[in-house]
Amino acid sequence: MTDSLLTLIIFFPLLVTAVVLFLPNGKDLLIKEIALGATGVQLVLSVILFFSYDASLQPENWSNAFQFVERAKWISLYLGDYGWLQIDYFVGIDGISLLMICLSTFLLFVGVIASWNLSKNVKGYFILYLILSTSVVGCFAALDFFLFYVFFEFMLLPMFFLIGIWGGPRRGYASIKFFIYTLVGSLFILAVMIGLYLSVEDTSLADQTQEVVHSFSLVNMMDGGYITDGILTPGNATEFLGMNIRWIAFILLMVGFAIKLPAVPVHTWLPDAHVEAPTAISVLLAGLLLKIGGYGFFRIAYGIFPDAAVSLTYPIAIFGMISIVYGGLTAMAQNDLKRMIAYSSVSHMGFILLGLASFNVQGAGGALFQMVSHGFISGALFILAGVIYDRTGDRGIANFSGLAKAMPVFTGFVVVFFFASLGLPGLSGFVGEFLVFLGALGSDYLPKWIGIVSISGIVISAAYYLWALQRMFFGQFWTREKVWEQTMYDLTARELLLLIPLAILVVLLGIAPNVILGPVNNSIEFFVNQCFEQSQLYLAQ
Amino acid sequence: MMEMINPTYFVFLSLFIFCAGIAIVIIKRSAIFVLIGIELMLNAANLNLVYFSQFDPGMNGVMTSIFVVVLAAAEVSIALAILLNIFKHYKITDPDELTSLKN
Amino acid sequence: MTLLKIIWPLIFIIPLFSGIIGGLNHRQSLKLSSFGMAFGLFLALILVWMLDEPLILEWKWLESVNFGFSIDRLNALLVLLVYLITLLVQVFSITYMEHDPDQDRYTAKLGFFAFSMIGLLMSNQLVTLFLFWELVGMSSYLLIGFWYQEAGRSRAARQAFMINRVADAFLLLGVIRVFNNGYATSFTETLASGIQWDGFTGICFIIGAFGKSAQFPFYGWLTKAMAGPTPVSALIHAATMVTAGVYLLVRISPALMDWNLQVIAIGGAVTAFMAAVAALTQFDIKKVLAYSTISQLGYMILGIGVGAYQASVFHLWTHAFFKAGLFLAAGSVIHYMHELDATKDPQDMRNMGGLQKILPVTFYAFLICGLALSGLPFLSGFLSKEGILTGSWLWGQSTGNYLVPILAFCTAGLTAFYIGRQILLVFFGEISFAKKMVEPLVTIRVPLIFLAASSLWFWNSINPIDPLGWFWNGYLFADLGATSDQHSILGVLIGSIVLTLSGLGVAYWLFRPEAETARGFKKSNEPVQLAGKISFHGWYIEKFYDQIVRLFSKVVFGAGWFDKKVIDRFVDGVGVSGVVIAKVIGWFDQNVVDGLVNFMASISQLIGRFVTSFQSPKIQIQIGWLLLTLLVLLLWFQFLT
Repeated sequence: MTDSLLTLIIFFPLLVTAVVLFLPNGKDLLIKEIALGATGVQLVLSVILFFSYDASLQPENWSNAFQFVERAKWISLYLGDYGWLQIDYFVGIDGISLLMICLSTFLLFVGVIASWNLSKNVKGYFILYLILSTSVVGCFAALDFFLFYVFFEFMLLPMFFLIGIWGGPRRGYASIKFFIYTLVGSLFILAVMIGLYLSVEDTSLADQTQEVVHSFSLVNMMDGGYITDGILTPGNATEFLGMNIRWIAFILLMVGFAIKLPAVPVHTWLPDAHVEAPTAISVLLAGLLLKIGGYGFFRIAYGIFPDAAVSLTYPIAIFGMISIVYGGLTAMAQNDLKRMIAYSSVSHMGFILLGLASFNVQGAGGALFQMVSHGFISGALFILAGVIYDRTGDRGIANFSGLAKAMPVFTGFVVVFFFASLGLPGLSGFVGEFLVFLGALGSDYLPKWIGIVSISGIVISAAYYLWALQRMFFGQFWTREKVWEQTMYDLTARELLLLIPLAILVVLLGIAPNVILGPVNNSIEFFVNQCFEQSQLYLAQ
Repeated sequence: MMEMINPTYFVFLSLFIFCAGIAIVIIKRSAIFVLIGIELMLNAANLNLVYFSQFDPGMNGVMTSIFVVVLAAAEVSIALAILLNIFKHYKITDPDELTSLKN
Repeated sequence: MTLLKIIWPLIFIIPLFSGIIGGLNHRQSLKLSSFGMAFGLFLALILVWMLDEPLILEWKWLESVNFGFSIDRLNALLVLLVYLITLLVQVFSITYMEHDPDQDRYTAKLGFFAFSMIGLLMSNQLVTLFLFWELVGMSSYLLIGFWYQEAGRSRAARQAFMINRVADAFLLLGVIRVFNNGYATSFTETLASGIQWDGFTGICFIIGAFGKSAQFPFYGWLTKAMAGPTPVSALIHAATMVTAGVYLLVRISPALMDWNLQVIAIGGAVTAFMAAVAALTQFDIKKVLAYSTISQLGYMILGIGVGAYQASVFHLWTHAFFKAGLFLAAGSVIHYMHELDATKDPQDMRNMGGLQKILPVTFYAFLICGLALSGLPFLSGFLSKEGILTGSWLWGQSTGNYLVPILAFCTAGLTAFYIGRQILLVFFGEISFAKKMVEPLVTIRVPLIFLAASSLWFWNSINPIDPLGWFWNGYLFADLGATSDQHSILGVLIGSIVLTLSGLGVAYWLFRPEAETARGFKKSNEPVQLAGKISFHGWYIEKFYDQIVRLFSKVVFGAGWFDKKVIDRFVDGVGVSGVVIAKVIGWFDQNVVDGLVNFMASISQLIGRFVTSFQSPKIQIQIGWLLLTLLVLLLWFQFLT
């Protein structure tokens, strides 16, 4: 069972897609049920994965840091002078990807329920949705750079169509913007990927052939299996634009993933994409796609280029700080609820940069926790924004007032999740921020003022959330259009079904964060130690 | 031993029949006539085969000509059947007017 | 001990439960919840009675961050206080909130508050403290904005929370610095280790405490918090939550450096004086009490700064009773004024006067509590304030810094004056309205009588003038290892009594019913002279906040503008220029590159046409061509090779 569990989790939705393809167009409910079942199975499997994950594993190097590893030859070509081209189907997880996979399957399941009311071209929607499920999970499990890249790119297409077809009025602009932005990011990643491929060899296969066997295996890259004179081999003095080539590669990766994250100043696709995307897609966008950027930092940028990372902590932290403060300030200036939440995502993603830049266990753990917690919180926030949009077709903050009177339960949830997002202790948002601050202020690499300025982020986030709360939910009940007053009914059973589990998780993670951080602690510690040791090793070369 | 007929006659006769066949195939508009032309050409060849097989102790020419006759019979019957059906369907016999086999 | 291990979690969780149960029951919510709280009070009494060794409970919250509670005598007593006041406030609210349709929500929020407050008091680890610290802030926010439909109240709630949040950010910074600098992270360990924190960490904690305890420059939030229901003001914004800062400083004061303590002392003294001045000219009955609370909190803070933290804790205790009594009595007055005429502002003292005859119980409660506040002997306030004044005097002597004691003594006189003014204006004079109302019911009377009675000296000390005679002194501070070496100084004693009496005397002279000022008061407007304006506007602290907010919103909208007009424009510009370049390339492609291709294509087309002309659709002609070709080939092979 556990031998191919990972593959099953990744490809189960794709398998179901094949079934859905052959269903006639009209059977909307059946398709929804199938999609729910498929993501449900995925969720159950990932829960099994979580509990069968061995938390006590203390690896010595990356090659034994992963569990549930599956490896099969995928593409194997002889390229003459370029040696063997070796691409593997290579998946496996450590603690970092474990959490991401569990988060993904949960949100994907939630997303199906969130799109239950969909009526436009249901079949197409869910086919794309299931493809997306496969590629997201695949991205988190891939240990071969090529495989990762394939999944990474594969995510774009369903997303593009999901926004472009099922989105709001400006969906065309938003989806194109999203697509181009991300594609530019992926190009940077692609360039680095090829460079890495040419500098890394798979020593496990080198005995069988006389030629150099180049490899895309992330494990090889992280463990430093470089050939002696590769372009990205540590110690290579090649310079480009006055900088060491490894530094350039690291910066390219960071930019590529920062677009996905997104960090200021490459964040402007996010508000547009969020505003136009349908609710469920916003949930996935904020909950998962942004996390792939963060995950890329962990697994690829930091894992492979620790030497560059440790030398560039300062600018990374500054970008994190700018994202936190600037994202918060901009969020406050927004008039659209969804836009405000989108900018708050930018602000919260800044914590990931800051946490990673601090280069210690607290910072990295905080960044990881922030990713998980932000997945739940922002998912819930977008569902809440969707609730208003469903009822009125409008989300302007200034168009509503005193909603607490008409929708008390809804307002209760809004208060809980707003407070969770503004970092109230006892809810999950605080834990990540606390750990990141702990890391940033205790870091050997960062000056104190960066952490101190970033702490102002918690004041700013309180400012915009409470301001929105006051303007929309408190005061006399009033809506800009009289008709809306009739449609402002409180949450339906389906919406409650969506929000209650999220609320429980947010509270649980806030009170007992070790439920998820405990099992992955070894992985985080190993990640940080390994990055540190290798950076020293590489820098010495 | 019988007097040998001059082989030139045979050659000319079969040449004549063959050319007539070609002429019919090229000129005639009806598919039936085209068939007839083909038959003529086949038989012109047969004539040659039969005549020149007397110089061959293995009698291969005769054997071949028998095969050709059988083949021709089969071919004609199938071809006629097709032509008949085409005629039933399209009311045409001119092979050039027949541009499609599907409706 | 085993019994205590069972009951303390109960004590911890009961408020939350009774809040939930009350919140679920719409009609009887407050009554149900009161029963729960009464039971909790009983348990808390057992806890105080039986506790001798501190109970400590810790578990791992995160790697290297623990979550922990400890119950020693100090917080056991304060938990008891919270239970007591909460219970009284709930009982009072049964009548006060009778007609409110959202009673259940009110109960739930009160329960949540009591839970967070008790959690805060029981916290041992700093992270735990910060957690409950914020929860307390949130519940305060929810309760201030209880009548959310009135825009002004929800705005006040937000502003109050935001001011707190700024201070909390500093507290968080302080907590993080404690972790990163390797100090002990719990109160008990900090005390045991005897390590002093660096000054910056200390300042962070002090700012956090100043925020919650409404000290300068954060005190503006407390007047905004008066937008909440009056019983809430009594519970949260007078007796319990605002003392959290004092409590925190008491806990950490052993770890603070000397100059930190000086900051505390000066901050407290300045706040006490400023707030007392601000209380002099207010019209709003609750605002006077709010400024008075700020001023008294200033005293407590000052007491910690000068090292008399035992007196501060004592003052915290007595203040909780008499200030809660004052607020509840004010609530009773407001309740009456509201019933009388809903169109007038029920909190404006200019509409009041002569209530003594109509609300006798309220009057006596207000009188006793007010005099306790002013610091008249034989009342509880005198005892505790005396300790702080003595401490400040001794501190002034030892450091040579007499600013703190001078401000403290001035405040004592001012306090007597403003509370005397308030009593006279509200309860004396002519009744301008005749409607006789049902005197407050049992639910209102009992809490008032209880709180007034407990403001008498003998509940606290047998000797009415000995500040160290507090019954709880030995109980509380024996295990802290520090017994005070202060003795009451005769000069201080006499000085404070004289100041109090003269303050009351001036108040009587100015506001006795037949005096000019008292008569003119009903028609008076906002003061116009500078001193009056400064006092009335509370030293313009809110204007100061408004300026900051204005500046901040400029930054915010600047950032919004920048994002929309610069960054997004830039991105769009890149996009547009991409499109333009693409168009140019497209033209080039269509006309130049494609032209070439088309030219080639048309040449081959020409050739093709020429060749096609040989072809015929007729099968027979094709066959003819075939034969001809064959013939040509034959002839070729026959004759030419």
